[in-house]
Parts: sequence; C-alpha cells; structure tokens
Amino acid sequence: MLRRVKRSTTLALVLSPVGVLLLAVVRLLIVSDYDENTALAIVHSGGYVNTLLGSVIPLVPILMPYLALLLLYLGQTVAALLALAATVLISPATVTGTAALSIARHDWDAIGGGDGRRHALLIILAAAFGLLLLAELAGSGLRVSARSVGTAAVVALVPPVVFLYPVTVGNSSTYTGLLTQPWLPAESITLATHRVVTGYVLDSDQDWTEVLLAGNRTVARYRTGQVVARAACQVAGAGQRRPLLPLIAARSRLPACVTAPPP
Amino acid sequence: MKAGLVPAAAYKYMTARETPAICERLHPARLLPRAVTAAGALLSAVALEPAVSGHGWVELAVWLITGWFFLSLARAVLDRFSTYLVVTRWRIFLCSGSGVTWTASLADVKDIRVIRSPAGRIAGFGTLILDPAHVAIDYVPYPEQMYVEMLGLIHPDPPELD
Repeated sequence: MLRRVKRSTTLALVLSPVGVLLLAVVRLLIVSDYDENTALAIVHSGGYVNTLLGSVIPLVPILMPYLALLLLYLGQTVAALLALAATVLISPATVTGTAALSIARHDWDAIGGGDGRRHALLIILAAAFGLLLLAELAGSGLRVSARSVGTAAVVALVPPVVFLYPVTVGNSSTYTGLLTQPWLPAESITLATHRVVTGYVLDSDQDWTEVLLAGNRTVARYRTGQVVARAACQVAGAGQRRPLLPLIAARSRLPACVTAPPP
Repeated sequence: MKAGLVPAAAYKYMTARETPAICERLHPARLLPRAVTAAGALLSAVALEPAVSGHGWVELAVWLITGWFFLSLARAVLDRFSTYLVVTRWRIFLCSGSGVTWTASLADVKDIRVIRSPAGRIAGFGTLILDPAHVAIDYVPYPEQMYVEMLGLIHPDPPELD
C-alpha cells in the first residue's frame, strides 16, 4: 500500500551484534553443560573473539533452514532462496540426498492419490490460486507476486524442513548433538600416568594445558610435561550427518575417541 | 469536497481548519497479495495432507500457518473499510482503524508521478509516487484524477508557458 521506492532490505535483526552475542552466550552455556563457571573458564582460556566466533559459526548450518523459512515469511524471497541453497549445501540432513529424493517421490505419489472429490478440490484450489496469481502478476508485477508465492511456500516447506533438519529436545536428534558439541576438535590426550582422557584443548603453554573434558564438561588443568601425546579423534554422534548435496564426496575418518571416566 | 461528505473514520483526524480535497478508500486490488498467499497456503496444505497426516504437530503446524494467512487476509479486508487516503491543502495522510499510519506535508512534495500496470488500467488503480521523498502509494483508485487534483494542490499557480 505504502512503500519507499528505494528501501533498505538489510536483515538488521538477525545480523545485529546483540543477536549474535545472545546466540553465542546460549551456545556457550549449552556446551558448558549449563555451568557458568565452565563457560567463564572457556572464555578465559580461548579468548573472547575466538569464543564468540567459535560458538556462532557452527550454529549457521543448524539455523539456516529455519532462517530460510523466516525469510520467506518476511517476504525476503531472494535472501530466502540463497538461504535454502546454503541449507542444501551445508546443513546436515537426517537422510542422504538419494533417500530424500526417494521419500519425495513416495510423498508425491501420496499427494497425487486419493478419491475423485479430493482431486476436484485440488483442481478448484489450483485454479483459484492461478487466477489470483495472474491478476497479481498483471497488477503488481513479478516482485510482489514472488513475495506472495514465497510466503505461501512456507506451508509447503515446513514438513520437509522439519523432517530433514529436526531440532528436538533430548538425545534423539543429531541437531541436539551438534548444539552440545564444542567448536574445538576433540582430542585423545595421553598422560604420563598412561591414562587417556578425551576432551577439547582450550589453551596450552609450556607449563599448563587446559582441557574441557568431553565426559562431564569440566575444565581440567594438566602440567604440559605430563601430556605424552595428543591425537584428534571423533566423538560418538558428532559429525555423522552430511548435507543433502555434499560438494566433497570424500569423508575424513578419524579414530573414535576413548571414553574414560573423569579424573 | 465538503466536510460533511468525509467519512467519520477520516474526519476525526482532521483539524477544524482543514478542508479535504481528496478522501478515497484504496482499491480492493490491494488485497490480492494476501489473497494469493492464503490461496497458495490452502492449496499446499490440502495437497500435503496425505503426506503429513499422522505426523502430529507437523500437520498441526501446516494448518496453523494456513489459518494465520487467512486471518491476515480477513484483517486486511476489515482494514480496507476504515483505511482512507486523505489530501488536504497542506498535508496528505493515510488513516485506518489503528490511527494515522503515514503523513506528509504537501509543502515537502515537489513533484508527483503516476504509474499504471496493465491490470491497474483494466481494474482502475495505479501507483502515485511522491518526489523527492520517493514514497509510493500503491492501489490508488482513479489515479489520473488523483494525480491532476494533487498536482493542482502542489502547484496552485503553475508558470505560464508560451
């Protein structure tokens, strides 16, 4: 009805420093198992900037599909399409691309099925939608029409997004695992006492090595001289999923981390 | 336009010394974007029903979002009855049930343009663009008459041309 001819379309809210900072704090608390002292120890050891970037960057693939839906709803069609493309390329999905296609084909068959009354209803609705869209195209142009269709597409995209990129509370979802996973590489650390601990090295100098233990999420300090060996490893449940369209076919395989009781 | 002919919904926002030159509802075509969204959402929800039925809250979410789009359309329909574009000798404003949603002084408007889409020419609406602020008012009914009347208010004494 009323608009600026030249208007800014910045996503100020999503990209504002306050929003990014809040995201970083929330994720830091999740990684620290909701313990403020551990969170502060991580920030102290890793540095503020590293912690901020480290905690936010891994959230991008998780939030991307939902950001795409939000952008579509807000009428930012081009930004939403870019977010959807990024989702397909980087967000870890619950199934592979081939399996997703197979499920889509099965769902398409289900959508095309049903009795004559359902088909008639679909035809009537499609005709009404088509006529309204044509009128809008002729009256308001492609940009406004694309925005209207994009907003309506949220309904069609909710089921596949929820199925492929579920965020659930508890341990049932890969996304929960990704959220609780620190941004540092997991390492198996062998000590001089022949004990092996699994954790994330927050800081290390010639005197001390600070480790966020993977098991109970507490910060342990070892004398650097006591650390005999360090090797990157794969924590169970982390990094198991791939995006729908992975650009790199090969997967790096790390040895599984040793689960040891806390000291 | 006589003050008595101005709807109460618009008149209550005018001062005693203001005389309305134009007071019009916006064209019903402004409901089209929301209608397209609602129709598209309903089509998607009905089409997806066999695929999402039995999936608990996913099915609920699909229908809730569709319902939200229809509520939004209903609100726009109701809004249309109380939304007016009013032009007086010193200002132009849009008012609706929620108040005066936009206003501009006519002294700040140096020029005005009118644009009509193909459907606008058939259905009788257009877009007025107020310069130099580059503010566009879409779905204006009788756009040519509006343009001429507003131009007359902006430039009451145009320079004589040879």
